[in-house]
Amino acid sequence: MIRDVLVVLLTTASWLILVFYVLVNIVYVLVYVSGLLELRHRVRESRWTAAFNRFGSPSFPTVAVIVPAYNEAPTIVDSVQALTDLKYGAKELVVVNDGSTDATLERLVDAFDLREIDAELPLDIDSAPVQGIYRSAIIDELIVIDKDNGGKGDALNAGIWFTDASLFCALDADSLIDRDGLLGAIEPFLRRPDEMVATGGSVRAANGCDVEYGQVNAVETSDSFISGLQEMEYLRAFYAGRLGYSRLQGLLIISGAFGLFRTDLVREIGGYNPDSVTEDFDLVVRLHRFLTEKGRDYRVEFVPEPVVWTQVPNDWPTLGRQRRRWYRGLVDTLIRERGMVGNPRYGRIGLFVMPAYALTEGLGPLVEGVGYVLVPLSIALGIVEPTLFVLFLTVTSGVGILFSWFGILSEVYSFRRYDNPADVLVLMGHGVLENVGYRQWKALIAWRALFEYCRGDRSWGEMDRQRFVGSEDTD
Amino acid sequence: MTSPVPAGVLRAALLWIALGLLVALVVTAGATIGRSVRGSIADRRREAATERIQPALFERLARHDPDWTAWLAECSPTERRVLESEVDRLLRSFTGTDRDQVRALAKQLELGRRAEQPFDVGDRIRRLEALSWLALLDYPINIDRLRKRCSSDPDERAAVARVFYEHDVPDASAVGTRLLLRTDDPLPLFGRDTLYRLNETDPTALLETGTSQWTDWSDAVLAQALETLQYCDPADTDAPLEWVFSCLSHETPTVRAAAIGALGTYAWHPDIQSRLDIVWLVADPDPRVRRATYRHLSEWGDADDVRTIVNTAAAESDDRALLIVADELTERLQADDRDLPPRLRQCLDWVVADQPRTG
Repeated sequence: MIRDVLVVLLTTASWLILVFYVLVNIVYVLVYVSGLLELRHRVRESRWTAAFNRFGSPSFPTVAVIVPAYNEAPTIVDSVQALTDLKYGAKELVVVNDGSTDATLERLVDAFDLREIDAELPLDIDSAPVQGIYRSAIIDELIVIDKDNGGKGDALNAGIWFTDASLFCALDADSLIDRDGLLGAIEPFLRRPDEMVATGGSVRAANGCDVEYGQVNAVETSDSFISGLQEMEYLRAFYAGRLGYSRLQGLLIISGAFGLFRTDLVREIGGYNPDSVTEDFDLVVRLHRFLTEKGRDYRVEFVPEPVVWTQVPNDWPTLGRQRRRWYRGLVDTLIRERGMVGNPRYGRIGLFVMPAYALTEGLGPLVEGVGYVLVPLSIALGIVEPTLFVLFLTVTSGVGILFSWFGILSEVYSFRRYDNPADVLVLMGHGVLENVGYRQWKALIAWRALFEYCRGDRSWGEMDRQRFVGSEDTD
Repeated sequence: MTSPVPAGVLRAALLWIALGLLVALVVTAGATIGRSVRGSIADRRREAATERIQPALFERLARHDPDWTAWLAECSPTERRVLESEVDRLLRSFTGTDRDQVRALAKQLELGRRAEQPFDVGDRIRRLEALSWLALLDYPINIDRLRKRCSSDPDERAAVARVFYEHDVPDASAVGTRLLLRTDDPLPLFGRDTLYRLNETDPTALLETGTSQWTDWSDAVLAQALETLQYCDPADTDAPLEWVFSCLSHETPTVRAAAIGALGTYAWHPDIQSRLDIVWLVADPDPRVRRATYRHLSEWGDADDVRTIVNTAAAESDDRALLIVADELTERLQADDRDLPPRLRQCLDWVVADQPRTG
């Protein structure tokens, strides 16, 4: 009797998982094919550069580059130095020291000869209390806001409420931006000044790259297996996923490491949510909701060419903390904005994009995790034939590899940062190897994150910061 | 419970899917590796050609007679492609005789004649590339043909107007301005910059176009046209400014703010100044309009006007507007700082303390 009930339950669950898997992959195929079409369009468009000096144009917009910094003492001076070299004249650099307990502020004061502005700021800054505002005596465009700790979103809010610039670029302190990265990210704003509200560039792993004077000199794959897996993941996520959603006008995530936004609009919706652990995702979803409710024509675009380079976690515990935080943030935002999911009032965002995210990013890893438990049980009970299971596993792995290789093909077909074919082969190898252990580990991480979320865990988790090691250090 | 699909059918379906996937994987892998290898080889060749070409190009540019014909006869196809890129890059940054030298090289490379051909085909990017070359080169152009063939694409209109500007064709300002503003869609930065260049030293064409068309423009285009006027030199005092004054009462705040910016360029003139009612403008409900008033008009006022602004500032709800007042009137407020409203005084203190920012 119990066996019969178990058989019925397991058979039903197996079929539900299969249907879910098919549905998820239909979404992925739609998004990835859209990504390829969009990439082809972008590559064509990038062939033409208008014959004028955009920096000399009086209408060229000023951008505030806002860099939240919490305990970034080892990297902050290199990062800010790299920002001063950005190929973008009309910029203001706003570093927000978010109550660091290390020497972040002292390093900045020493390196850039910061002087505290001896007056009370006459603006209401919507963040934790500001302790002081400093301007560099040697780099006029550099401002440092020293405030009490309030989290990344809160630090970004301090910069957003401080600046007068019409656009702001949120940039992680531990990342390096291409010298012409900001110029690339602003292109959509220059083409469609009335509609564009946010753009985001690609984020890539810098672990294996050669860095010189704050710029990535040579792009290479990392020797570390964990970093290599993430290099491939980032390519797939940005070149296939985000590009595809951008084509479908449904981009929900602009990475916190590198995003450009209209300042007035972000202020209008109350800025970043300081309580969110994925403030970047949360902000873009709220922008979509706000603008759709107001009935405004708007665009949120992903720009594939400008790249920001980041040090990805190089050990399993740190990577686990990061991924659990991402998952908790995703669940938190999806639950908070659940009114949008499937709601025709929000157009394609409500009817397709939000359900697709909930399905692929929210439920996907959980269902996969369930599958890893149920299928062996079903084999043991004779419900599923082992040969069928092996075939199914082959197909799922094959689909996973194909999607990963799509991302690598997109990179090779378009901007080819990895110019050594051996690096491309390594990336493809990681696309195969991630199916053995790594995918299963991520499913486990998702379940653990869900458990933490249900327990009310809203922590960010410590991330180790390391200096970018460049050829100038080894000379 | 039996499975809704027999195991045999499921097995066959999975086998076929696996086979299809295998083919897709082999094709994807082949395309990826092939593209990577070809790209890598092409890059190496191009880098080597660039290393050879660049010093030789600059050495010849420094000569009185570069003898481009003889040099080009020795260049390989890859080197000629590198040269085309170099010519494009240098034409965008060089001026004067250096530019003339590069243009002579472009002529030898037949870039002008080749640029003409794609303009007859439907491909958008090829047309834009062709127009860019025409703007950069001194190749003869047919104005009527360009005007007639120009589509409604905002980039293409900007590119054609740019060709008119760069070639300094007769009535370039009027023809280019009308071409650019024949639209409901806001101009891209390229179009705005071209509109500015066409009207930079004499915005009469823009003012006259506005007189006859401003009611037909969308709010976004109207605001862009007004903002362009703000950057241009002032036209003669008898220029048609009436429509700009009308825009002060426009229903859209961005248009009102842009109109204030445009009139700020003329506010030094007593006739214009007398028509600008500061009290009315700073009572505008939208802070963007009040900020524009403080930014563009406050410096032209006399002591009474400054006092009016200071009195209004006492009730100003927008901190950023007050900062602009303090920024624009720093010295005058410092010279007479009696009875400053507390928030304006706080702004003044900030502006004075942050001298590098405010200059």
